[in-house]
Amino acid sequence: MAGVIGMGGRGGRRPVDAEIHLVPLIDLLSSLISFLLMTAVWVQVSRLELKNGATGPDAATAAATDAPVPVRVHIHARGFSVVEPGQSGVTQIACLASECARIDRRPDADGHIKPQVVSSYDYARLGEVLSQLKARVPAQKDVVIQLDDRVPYNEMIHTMDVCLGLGLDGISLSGTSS
Amino acid sequence: MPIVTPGRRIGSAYGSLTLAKKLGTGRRSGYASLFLTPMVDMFTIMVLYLIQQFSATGQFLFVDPEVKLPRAQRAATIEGSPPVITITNETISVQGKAVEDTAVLSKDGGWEAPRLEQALRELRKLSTDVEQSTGGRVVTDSAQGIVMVQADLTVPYVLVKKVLFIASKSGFERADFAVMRAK
Repeated sequence: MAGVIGMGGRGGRRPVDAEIHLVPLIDLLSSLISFLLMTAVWVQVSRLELKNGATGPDAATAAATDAPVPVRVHIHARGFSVVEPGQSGVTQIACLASECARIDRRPDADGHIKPQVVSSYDYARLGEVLSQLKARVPAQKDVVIQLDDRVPYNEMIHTMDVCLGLGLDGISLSGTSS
Repeated sequence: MPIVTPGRRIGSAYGSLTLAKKLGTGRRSGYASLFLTPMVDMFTIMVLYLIQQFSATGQFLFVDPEVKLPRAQRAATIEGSPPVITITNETISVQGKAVEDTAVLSKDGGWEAPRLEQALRELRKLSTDVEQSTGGRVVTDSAQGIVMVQADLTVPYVLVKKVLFIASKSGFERADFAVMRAK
């Protein structure tokens, strides 16, 4: 295709109209699309960071021994128990169904059994309780998530996600004595 | 193609077929017109979308097809290339290689997984050797004691707890959890 073509330019003035070189432009765009499609990362795998993951056989008290641990969120078979520092009471958050979490093993359309976690934990209520706590103590950042052994991993990640969303990013994990 | 004064004109692309038949010979043209403007628009939108999705960090994490990762909204981008421990309901793998049956750690009181521990110790030793042999210029994530846990969302917490304990014993004191980024 041609280059810049003058249109008009009366009286020896420089022309202001220019032609777009369409063929090289389309070539460039096609090459870019091919390159970007080939190098595209479609699976968005990310990470959640754990401040202190050392849990041992005496895990009920293992994770948070050094620093004072202000908030403790216990995930158990009946729901959540939130223990605030300096408070004598425990906030109980029951599950939305009788069974807090169950593994669904129904086959999919292809006949493959891919287990799914059907969760009834009340994360909205947990978020409310923790946000109220955060409003009372804005400097609060540390939280210990204590889990019963049979609680699915999915619930751990979901709880960590809720805590991170409220600015409680000093997350430690703890277990219960098995 | 020179730039011409815009205005209405009869063209094969947009003009009505009846009018074209009246003006022309009535035979069907062997040429098809290319809608350049929408095509360039589409290409531009595609390029912009793909550039937005493009990741220049070059990080790649192999996700076991057997593992269904949980979703999280506040997940961070993966940095570096830490060693990966994969936990499914059947096996525990290190760097994609199955090293231990899950049953070993599933039983009550079972805190020992010798093959898993050995694999992790070897990884740690290798990275420490690399760090020492390069005079500290090459420090891998393994050398810093970082491990990535990639667990199926259905595995019970007890398995994760025991794997973290063994990783900690083997020198991996910091654990990150692989998740799928939720919208």
